[in-house]
Amino acid sequence: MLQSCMPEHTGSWLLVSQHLYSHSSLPVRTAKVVARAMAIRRPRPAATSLNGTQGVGTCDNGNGGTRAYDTDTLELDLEGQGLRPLTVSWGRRQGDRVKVGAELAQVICERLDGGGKVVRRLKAQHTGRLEEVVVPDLSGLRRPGTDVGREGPEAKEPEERPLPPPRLVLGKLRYCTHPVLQSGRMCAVCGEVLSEGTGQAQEATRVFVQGGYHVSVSRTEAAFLHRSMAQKLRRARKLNLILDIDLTLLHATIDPRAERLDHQKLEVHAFDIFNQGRILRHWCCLRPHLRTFLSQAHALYVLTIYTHGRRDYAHQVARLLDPDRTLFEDRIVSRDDCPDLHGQKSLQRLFPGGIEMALILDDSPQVWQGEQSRHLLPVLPFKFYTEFEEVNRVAGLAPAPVLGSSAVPPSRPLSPPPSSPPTTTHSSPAPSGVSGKETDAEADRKEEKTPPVPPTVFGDPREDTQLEHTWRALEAVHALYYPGGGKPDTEEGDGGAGRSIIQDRGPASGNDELSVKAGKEGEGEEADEDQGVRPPQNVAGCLSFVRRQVLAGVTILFSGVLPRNVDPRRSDLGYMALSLGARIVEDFSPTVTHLVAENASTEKVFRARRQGGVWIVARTWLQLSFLHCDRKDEAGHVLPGCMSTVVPSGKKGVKETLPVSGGDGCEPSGEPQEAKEQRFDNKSDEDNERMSKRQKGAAEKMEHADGDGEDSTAEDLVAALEDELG
Amino acid sequence: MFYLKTLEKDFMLEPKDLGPGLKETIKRRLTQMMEGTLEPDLGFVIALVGLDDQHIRPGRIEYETGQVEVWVKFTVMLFRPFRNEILDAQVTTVTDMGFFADAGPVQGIYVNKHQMPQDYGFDAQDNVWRTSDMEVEIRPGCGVRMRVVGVDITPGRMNVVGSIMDDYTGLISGETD
Repeated sequence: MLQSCMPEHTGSWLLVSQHLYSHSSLPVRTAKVVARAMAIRRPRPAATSLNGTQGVGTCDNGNGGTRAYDTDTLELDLEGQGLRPLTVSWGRRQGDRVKVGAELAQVICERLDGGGKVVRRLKAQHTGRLEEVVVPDLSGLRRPGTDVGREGPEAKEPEERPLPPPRLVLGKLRYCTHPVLQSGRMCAVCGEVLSEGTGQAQEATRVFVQGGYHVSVSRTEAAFLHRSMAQKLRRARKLNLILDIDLTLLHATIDPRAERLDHQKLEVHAFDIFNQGRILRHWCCLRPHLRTFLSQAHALYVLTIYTHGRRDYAHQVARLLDPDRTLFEDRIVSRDDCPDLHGQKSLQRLFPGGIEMALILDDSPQVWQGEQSRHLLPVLPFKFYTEFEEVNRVAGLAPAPVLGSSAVPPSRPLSPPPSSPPTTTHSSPAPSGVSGKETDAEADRKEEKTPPVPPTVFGDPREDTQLEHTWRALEAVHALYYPGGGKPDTEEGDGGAGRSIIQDRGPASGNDELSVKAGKEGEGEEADEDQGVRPPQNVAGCLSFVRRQVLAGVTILFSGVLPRNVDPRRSDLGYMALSLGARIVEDFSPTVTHLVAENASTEKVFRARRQGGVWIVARTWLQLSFLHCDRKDEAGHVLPGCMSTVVPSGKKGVKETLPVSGGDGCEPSGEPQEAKEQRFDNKSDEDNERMSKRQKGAAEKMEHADGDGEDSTAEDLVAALEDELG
Repeated sequence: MFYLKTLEKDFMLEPKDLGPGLKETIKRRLTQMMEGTLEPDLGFVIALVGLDDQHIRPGRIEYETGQVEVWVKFTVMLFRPFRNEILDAQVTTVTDMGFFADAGPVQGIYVNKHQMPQDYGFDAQDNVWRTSDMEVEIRPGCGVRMRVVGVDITPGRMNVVGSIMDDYTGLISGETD
């Protein structure tokens, strides 16, 4: 509000006040105390603060790193307008608070062509405080002999009249950049409420804060947060790992029948959650090797839980997995924290400055969109309670309906204290021998009902090895990102493993370890060059690099698994194959090493059988290799009906021509193979029994892609082979 | 700041409330309805402190529903932080972006790191803000005195931001549970 624009007031307006505290609501004494205190606290003079109190917001040091305030030079652009400024009359004093758009000063200008006087107004571009008010000396620009009475000697001297400066600098305005907004509206630094449409409010990204609060940060602030986080991570030689709960780490149900189910070796916990006036008992069946996995991953990764479940649920699970609060601390994001995402997940709010140091572990890839999908390490959904109601389904996002009115069997006491984590651990199948068999029988019936035609990647949940494979992949990615080795206090092996991956990668033809070493010496230049290019800067690059090792050198032909008019490279299976480093061909050629087929009666299959040396595998082989990030043993996934032709010629030929990288995590043979072998011995009797009981043929058994399924197929293979030969 | 304010309101009385002691019922209903709510621009209603009988006008029965519309004028005590007010609050959450504190019904008062003195630094290990001389620690549960920097009332929620930059603001008590 300009109080007056009258020319006769001009003189007094030019007076620049040195008064610094214009905020009336602060008593003078307080202000003085503040000023004194601040003189100690910071070197910056008290004049620079907003709204009368001290030092608000300039954090150049550790706790801020970003500047909350910025200074704008107030200037009037007169370029090319044919104007010459005559007088400047300020409407505000130094130290005044001004709002955006407010009129600060008037500049009376004269047209150079003699067309009279024009008033130009200076307006505030930001809401802030006038830090400096300048009244430029315009006398040198005056034409000699003009009406204004200043006829000094210097006024007469410039006959040729110096040109007016194109920009008239009039002062400085200090304003808040609104680096952090609470609830997306109010600046947390200056307290100004921004209207919804304001650029700053729109630009700001929402960030999760623990405890269900959310704030929005500006781009610069986000970048700063990101930098400090990245620094912290690098110092600890860690990466971020985002973990989904349901079907990734465990399988939960609220079906009370879970109580009587025989969980055998699996670890099961129960806890109560109070929801809408009801107590719901949840049973959580942990994925095999989960605890080992978490403690291993904790050494190399900063773990965060991100679930579509409710907050209570997420925290209960976290307490279950992490009673000491060392693994996740407070890094738990639940559905309640992001109600507006509609079933999607976004890391934007966790890492506003970028996600290049984060990996994601989730069983449903579709919830991660865009760039984030490159950071995703999909896992096989872990389903134990296959027939029960699922908790926290992604699709509807609705709380799972309660089965029956009383969710808890009356015989049980309702409330074991939910605070004590391992409430009930079903270590032994004590009372449930019968019911367990019942459910087994049920499961069998279900299996029989569903036609075995599409082989599934789901094996026996008890034999699930996903987390072991995932851990190997994570380890490899970490080793690739931090080539010097893992955390200093972990074993030395990490670093070596990381290097070996980089080197083993080798040329596309694929080598075993010897030839890589030879190559390193022989074509050292190339290797160096490779290394120079190789180590990718972000985690997504590392991940895809690790993945590409898995099927490097493999050439895949699809037969009957894809619709005819679909480009195999754009299909799901094609994506898997390509991301694992395999080559895809569309027609049969001698280079084909693997034929992924749906049934044994296609032309391509016949050709492959005639030619020999080609693995004819079911799609589960590719899917599992992708999910486990590990080249699965083809023998376990040979297409039913093709095994006899493949094994004799195929196994040798393939083994000779195919590369088997020596790095950890990408190596199908070796330790896991041995483990399988052992398990095979232990389980063969049991398997045989079950086999005979179910009276299933070898082909049907194929659908067990994992665990003991694999073993038994191997057994079948041997049997079939013997039959053929003998 | 707590303050008193006289409000006027039309509110609906259900037919089941009609009967002897109507004015008492109206008072009870009004108390139930008002206390604990967030009035736009005014703040949280802490208590209904005055309702004179003469300020209850005769009601009017609504034809459609049978409810009685009653006009009342009453005094309530309100709580609302004002800009530049000095407020005591209890810390609930500490993050590297600052901390959040509660003051009675006003929840999640945000003190940004920019609004903390320069010698405070965030300790990610213990999740506390600590001064460089290690004397002051701000952690969940402790009491802080702050200056209110801004208040924003949206429907159903009051957002407040504070500052502990000033003299005599900052930590005033240790953890209290």
